[in-house]
Amino acid sequence: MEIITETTTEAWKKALKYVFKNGKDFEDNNRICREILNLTIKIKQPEKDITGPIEVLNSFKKWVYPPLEEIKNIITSKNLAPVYSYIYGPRIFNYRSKIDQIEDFIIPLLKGTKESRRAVVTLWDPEQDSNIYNKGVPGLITLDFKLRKNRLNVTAVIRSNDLFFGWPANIFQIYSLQELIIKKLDCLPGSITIFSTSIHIFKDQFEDIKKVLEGS
Amino acid sequence: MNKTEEQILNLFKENPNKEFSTYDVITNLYPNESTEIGNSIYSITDKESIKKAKRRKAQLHRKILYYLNKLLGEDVLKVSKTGAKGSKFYKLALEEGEELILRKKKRKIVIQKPSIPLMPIEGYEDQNLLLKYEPSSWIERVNSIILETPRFNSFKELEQTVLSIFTNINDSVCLNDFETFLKNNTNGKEFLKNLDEETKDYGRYLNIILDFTNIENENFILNFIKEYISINPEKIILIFDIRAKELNKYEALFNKIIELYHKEKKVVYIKNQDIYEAPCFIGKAGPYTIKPEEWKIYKDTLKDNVNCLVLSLSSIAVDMKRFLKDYKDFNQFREFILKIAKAFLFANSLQRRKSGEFFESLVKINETYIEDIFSFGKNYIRFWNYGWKEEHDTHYLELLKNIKDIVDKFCTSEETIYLSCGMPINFKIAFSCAFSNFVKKEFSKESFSRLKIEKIEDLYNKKTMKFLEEKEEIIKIFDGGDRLRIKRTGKVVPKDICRELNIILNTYKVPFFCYDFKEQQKGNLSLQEFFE
Repeated sequence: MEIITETTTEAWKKALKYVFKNGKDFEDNNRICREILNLTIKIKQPEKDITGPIEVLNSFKKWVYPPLEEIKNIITSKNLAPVYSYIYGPRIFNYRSKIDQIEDFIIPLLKGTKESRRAVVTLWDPEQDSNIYNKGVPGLITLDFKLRKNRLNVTAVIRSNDLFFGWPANIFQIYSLQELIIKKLDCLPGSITIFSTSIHIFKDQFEDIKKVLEGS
Repeated sequence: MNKTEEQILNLFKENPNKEFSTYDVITNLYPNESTEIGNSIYSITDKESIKKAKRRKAQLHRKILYYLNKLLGEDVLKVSKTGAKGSKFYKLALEEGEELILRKKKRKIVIQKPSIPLMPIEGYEDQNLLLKYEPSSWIERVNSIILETPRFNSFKELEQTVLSIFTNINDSVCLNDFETFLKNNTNGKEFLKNLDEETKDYGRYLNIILDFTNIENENFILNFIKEYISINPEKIILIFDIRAKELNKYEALFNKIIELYHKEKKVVYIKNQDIYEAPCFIGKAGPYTIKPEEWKIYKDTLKDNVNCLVLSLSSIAVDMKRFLKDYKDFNQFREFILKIAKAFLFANSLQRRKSGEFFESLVKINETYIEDIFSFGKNYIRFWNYGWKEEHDTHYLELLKNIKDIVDKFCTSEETIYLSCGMPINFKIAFSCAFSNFVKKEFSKESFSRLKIEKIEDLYNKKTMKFLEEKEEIIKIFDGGDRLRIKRTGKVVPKDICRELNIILNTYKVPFFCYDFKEQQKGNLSLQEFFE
């Protein structure tokens, strides 16, 4: 299944509606989880309203959504702050304390070969993550960058994606990284596509999801 | 600009929220030389080296003091506090969000102090309904940590570690399994003497836990206690972690301990290991603990690999009596506590982003498992005048129970939200009581009941039994720890005191309590419960 929209909020709401209607239920850690496997969401102009879903979530008073600065910091920070077990930034900019996948690979690659199909960033580290006892592993697995017609298009693969709470932050993080690379390549923003191998919502979120969908 | 002056400015620039003592500045600017001086001073064999090292230490102090005073005169720095021995602590003379531009000949130095986000509780703070613990370091320091003493090789190493982490902690340090440390380290007098002065200077508490289930040599323990009593440190607490079995087994030792404590009118702290395995200790803000189930996980997975464990991140005290008097509404009180929970969430977010800077020395003393040392850290809501023994006490306790459930659910849902966003965080809030030293100036007048006993028979008195049963209920709510204080008046016979301790250990579910001999000779010989 593929959802294609112009804006971020539209994509989020369409996906919520789709999973709510068509997802299959199962029990996950004492919560009822409604899931769709292998959903693709493509946003043509994410920059138009990239924080839209976060603003919707912030309009609810019963929880506190993480601040934008911290969400962004998770993917753009090169160093792992001592209190996190993992964050995306060090996996991208300091993989295994050796490789800066953006500065040392993506930027020079796309500067040299604009049409390259090799501009891939990996976040999953088998040495740390392919361990059945390790539960704190990244959800975002790979990022793929395609520079076409001077626009940088990004595709992300997410292995486990909480659509209601997680997806708004994920799309903002991917956008923040896209923005950073655009500045370095001096190009224009393109689309963002997220391929979620498991995208889900939880039963305890249903009432709030209905409110979001009613407001659309 | 002079190089030393520039180095000092850079130190403050890199740590705009931190305060530094002269000693801290020296160790940061001259780390190798400081270590060498420290090693030489501790060397007991070479007197000439000691003399030389002391001279060099004094030279460095004078040099640094010159520049610190210069920067004080230029209003770049300010004295944040003065220790008991007169040693000063310095901070940037900047408010949050302010910028300082220094033009020194050809150079321009810009120092910024990041602003702390606006919290949804500041109006209540103005009304003295809540109080942050150490507001100036509320975010950039943790409240309390546990140090695993068996992982240290000498008193010197342990002392230096304690000193190094004092800059990252604003209340209390707990030295765990100290009886094991004592197996290989005797003569702790110098250690206690030095840390007595340092705890006074820094205004920190140091708790030393002696686990009596793990004692091999009674004499080592008794000698250490004698050294402790002879120094009589104000802010160093010994905690006897025992089961009723050990109280009987080491009866002679306990008789001596009681005698020593009674003579010096000190407070004996007891933790009941039969009913509570995890450590309990105190600070200025109040008691600290970790849940036994968390302690088990820590023991099974981490304890052998880390030097320290952070227990409390930030604390806020709440004047429950004043709030309910002013607002007369339980629902508003629930909302108020949830606002505090949200404020903690904002504070923790900033702490996380700046943790490398804020908690540098805690990170330094652990080579691996660094993120794990924060994995059990909690925020504390400490209640003051929470209605125990008041007219509506049961309502108050029911209200606290209900709010604890709401707060726990809020924390779980926030952890889930953050995890969904790719941020695996630990966000927990514990409830506990506030100690009067923390809140007495700002909050309503203390109205707790106290337990005084004169003789063993008082423990069978109906009033005492009711008092202790009610305390058990409060302890269930205060998952962040509670401490029962028993004021012991009347004649003290060590054997009788041991019997009293035995009764408490065997009868009541009170994990952490103390016997206070301070009022022992004042002659108030009856059991009293009173409201002040």
